[in-house]
Amino acid sequence: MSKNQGGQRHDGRPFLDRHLPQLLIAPSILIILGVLILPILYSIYLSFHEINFSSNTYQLVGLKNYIEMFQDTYYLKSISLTVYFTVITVFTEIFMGVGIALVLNQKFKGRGFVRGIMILPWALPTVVNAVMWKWIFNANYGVFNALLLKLGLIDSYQVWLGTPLSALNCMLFANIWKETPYVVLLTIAALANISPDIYEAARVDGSNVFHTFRTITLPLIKPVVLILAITKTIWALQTFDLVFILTGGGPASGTELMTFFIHKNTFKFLKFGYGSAMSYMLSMVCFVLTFIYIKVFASKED
Amino acid sequence: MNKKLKHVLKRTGLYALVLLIVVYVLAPYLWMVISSISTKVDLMEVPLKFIPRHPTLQNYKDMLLGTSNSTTDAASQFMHAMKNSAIVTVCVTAVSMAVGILASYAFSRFRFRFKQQTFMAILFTQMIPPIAIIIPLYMIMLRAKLLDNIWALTVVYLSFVLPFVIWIMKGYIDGIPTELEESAMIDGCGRLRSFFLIVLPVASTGLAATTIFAFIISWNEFFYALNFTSLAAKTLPVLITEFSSKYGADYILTCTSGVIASLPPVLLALIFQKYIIAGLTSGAVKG
Amino acid sequence: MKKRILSILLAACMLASASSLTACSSKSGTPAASGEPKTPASEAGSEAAPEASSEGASKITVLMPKHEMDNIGFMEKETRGYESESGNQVELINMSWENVADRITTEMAAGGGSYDVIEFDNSWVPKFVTNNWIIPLDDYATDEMKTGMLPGLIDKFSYDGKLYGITWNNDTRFFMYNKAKLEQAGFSEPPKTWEELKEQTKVMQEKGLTKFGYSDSYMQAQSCVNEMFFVVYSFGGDFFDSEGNLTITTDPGVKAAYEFVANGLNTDKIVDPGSMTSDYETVANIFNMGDTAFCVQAWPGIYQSSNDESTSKVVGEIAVADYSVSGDGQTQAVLTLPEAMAIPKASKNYDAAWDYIKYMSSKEFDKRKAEEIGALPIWSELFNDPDLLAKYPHWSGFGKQAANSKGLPSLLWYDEFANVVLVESQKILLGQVSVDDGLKEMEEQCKKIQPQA
Repeated sequence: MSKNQGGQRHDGRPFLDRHLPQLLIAPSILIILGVLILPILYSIYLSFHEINFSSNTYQLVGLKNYIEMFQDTYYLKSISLTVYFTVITVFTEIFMGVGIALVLNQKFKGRGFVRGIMILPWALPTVVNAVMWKWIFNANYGVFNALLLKLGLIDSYQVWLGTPLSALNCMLFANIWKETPYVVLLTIAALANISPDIYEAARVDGSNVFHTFRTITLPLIKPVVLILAITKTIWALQTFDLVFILTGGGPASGTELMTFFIHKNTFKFLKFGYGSAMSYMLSMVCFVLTFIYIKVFASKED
Repeated sequence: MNKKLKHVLKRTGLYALVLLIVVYVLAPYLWMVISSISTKVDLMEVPLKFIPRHPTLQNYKDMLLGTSNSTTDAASQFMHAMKNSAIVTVCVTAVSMAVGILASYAFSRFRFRFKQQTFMAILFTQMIPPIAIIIPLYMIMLRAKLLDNIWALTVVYLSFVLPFVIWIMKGYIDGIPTELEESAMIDGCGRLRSFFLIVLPVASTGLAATTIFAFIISWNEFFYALNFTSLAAKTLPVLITEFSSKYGADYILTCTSGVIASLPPVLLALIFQKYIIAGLTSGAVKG
Repeated sequence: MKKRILSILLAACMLASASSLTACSSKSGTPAASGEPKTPASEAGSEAAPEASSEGASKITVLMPKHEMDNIGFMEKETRGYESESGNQVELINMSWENVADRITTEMAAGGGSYDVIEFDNSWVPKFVTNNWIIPLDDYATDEMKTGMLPGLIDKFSYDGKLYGITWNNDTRFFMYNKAKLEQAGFSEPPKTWEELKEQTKVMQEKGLTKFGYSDSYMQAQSCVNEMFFVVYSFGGDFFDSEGNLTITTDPGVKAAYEFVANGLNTDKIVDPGSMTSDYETVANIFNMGDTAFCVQAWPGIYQSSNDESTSKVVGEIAVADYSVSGDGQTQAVLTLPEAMAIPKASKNYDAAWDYIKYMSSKEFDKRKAEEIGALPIWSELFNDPDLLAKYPHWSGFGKQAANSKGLPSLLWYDEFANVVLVESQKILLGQVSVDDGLKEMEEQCKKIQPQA
């Protein structure tokens, strides 16, 4: 289409014009690489080494760190937990978030206010969110127990964080509650650019709600939803504070997500090389997932 | 007649849905507010009283006025940390938006060599868990004597806010038809001018949302702040963890600080609603 | 063309960020192709930057967690007092314990000299000493200190015959109970054995006096390891024999301890099932609300909070026993988890750092600390101090129990060991595996990571 000017007409135009895109991205690249390039190179280097602090030496160990992680039963368990956590949070948050955004995109009284307070969960510092949910799920005095008891849904207080699966689901819920507003906020902004006229025309054509959504709304918000899916995946894979405070990875390592596991190996066991190797494995997983998302979204376009 | 009934039903359904959403969002938050104005004994009543019997604003007073005698000494640093957070967040938001928009425009509208690779590389830097790069980054900051410095922290924050801003803004700009700028360019507008005059106003809703996004993620950042600040540059999320001892978190004080910390982003969001709505009425385009 | 621009950009940003860190970049940039051990950046770093502080010789930076009983800014106030007395300047950085731990690890691994006095936890001793992160204090510590402080505390922070830390927080745990509830149930004495504790609890539960016998912090955190060590000690067991061999599956005390707690949680229902998710703070809350009758490993602060009407429903009902609960009524063990101050090797100001430590561990300071925030002294004679005993009559019980205090094992691989114990303990306590199978698995996992002697 029209995205073809940029780098093709070389002659007769000033330097600024010819290299406009490069100049536009230069400040960003400068900042991002300026901060991150050395640490990234260093940690890649580290992932092939073992540090011995007592003799102050780095020992080159080749791929040992990368191989070791697949023999580590605790690590393998944390992978499956992380995948479960990531898949469920990303899907739920996107479906719920887009749904809520569609509702809040309708005209009703107090819409601005409701949209404003939608941000509340997301505006809470992660640390506070985790402490708050720990308090809500408290086995002895938590408000969640009190509420369910009052509604007659349970007949005695339950230990919600007391079994691995239940604790993991509580953690999921805390994460979904906090992060869905992010999806809502960005989706509402994408929806705002769709003119009401289009919907009107569709209605006159007699298409139903779902058809309208699929043919008109979805294609327009798709670029944003793709980005939401990617960013959400990145963050879900890196969930740390919630685990650290809410469950400590327990009970019986039932909620020990990968980043928490890496943190433990790095900061407690001082296995810096191993921690770096696991981090890069996590990045690769993330990269592959992103690649799949992009392929899936792109293929649907046809 | 039938049509009218249908309309009423539709409206009722809508309001019921909205109410449900509001309750879902507010209920846990409300409990946090209630916790912050209760005494410990009241909170641990079984069966629980949902309305506190001895409500008190003492925690808020102590925290905001820094009267530390009755609370921890962390409380007296609250305003200082809030100021640090505000400075860092505002700078990060402003710079990342200004710089990020240019880059996202380039990625959205131009074709140039290594575009896809660069674009993916920018995101890949964010797929590496901060935990992997914290030690080398700390070494650099240590040698450059940049630890506990809010400007250094600002630059570090930019390195993770900027990539997301670029990606998100590209999503919004992609959604705007190129015909708009093309017609402007035919009218004699330069490329950049047409971008600033035509595209950006249409993208104002996305712009507002991305600004809130940048604000919130830098406002709430914890891990870097924990490692790179200690006193002078300490930010709010780090300070809040100090309401915990090694025995556990003080729920009441943490809730109090959480309520205060969550207000600035929400106020910002409420103000920005205006822009989102303005965008809706003025900048709507035909897909 | 564009390639050139890209490479210029890259070079520019490398330059920008690398200007002040040549030491680091040259190190991280050289790949160790030969497999030969290299000097890590930490060492070079600490040597590379010793300037810039000669003039500020009397300014030190201190990184410590908050004292859990210090709600009045006592440490801050005392630090300012030290400043005016000595003329030295002190930057005191307080963070939560977990944050301090992370922070110190980052700092040490990066080889920095940002701090002159640091937190030194009892579980870090072998690790920090072996890694050469801190300096021995023998030349600084006076004989009066070495003989006057509680011997357990000196021992705990000594390694290979050298002293590395001076305690600032004597965190020792005691057996407390709710005297009023026990009396209502018809018991005049607190239980001596775990079996008695179970019987008394059953009676109180039947009479509706308490919900559970006790609650403890068995959540997946260090606290669970601490508490299981205590129960094992109280049954006369240990995880290691005197030669350092693992005895998890062979020591009957270990098995008895795990059986008691697992049954207490799952079948006898005398232990609060919420324990699996509770931190220490929650344990104290439950005890202070009167929902449990015993606090088997209470810290001194609980006594204070139990007598405060805004945090407690059992004002005046709590008492400290003269002994701790045990398997046989004879063995006595309470847990001690002290925290010390240490001087990092990379500090540029050993003398001023020591001056601060000396002040913050002096007998006068120790007494003020005890009087103002109720913290346990580190000087032996203060346990008999008439002023303190007048203010805290219940301390006589502490004194008797503290005679048998015991710490966690000093292992170089402690963190990994504790992690295995933690995860496998949780499986047992949740009833996922039987006690025998669980302990067997625990020992196997431990053997996998135990360094070969």
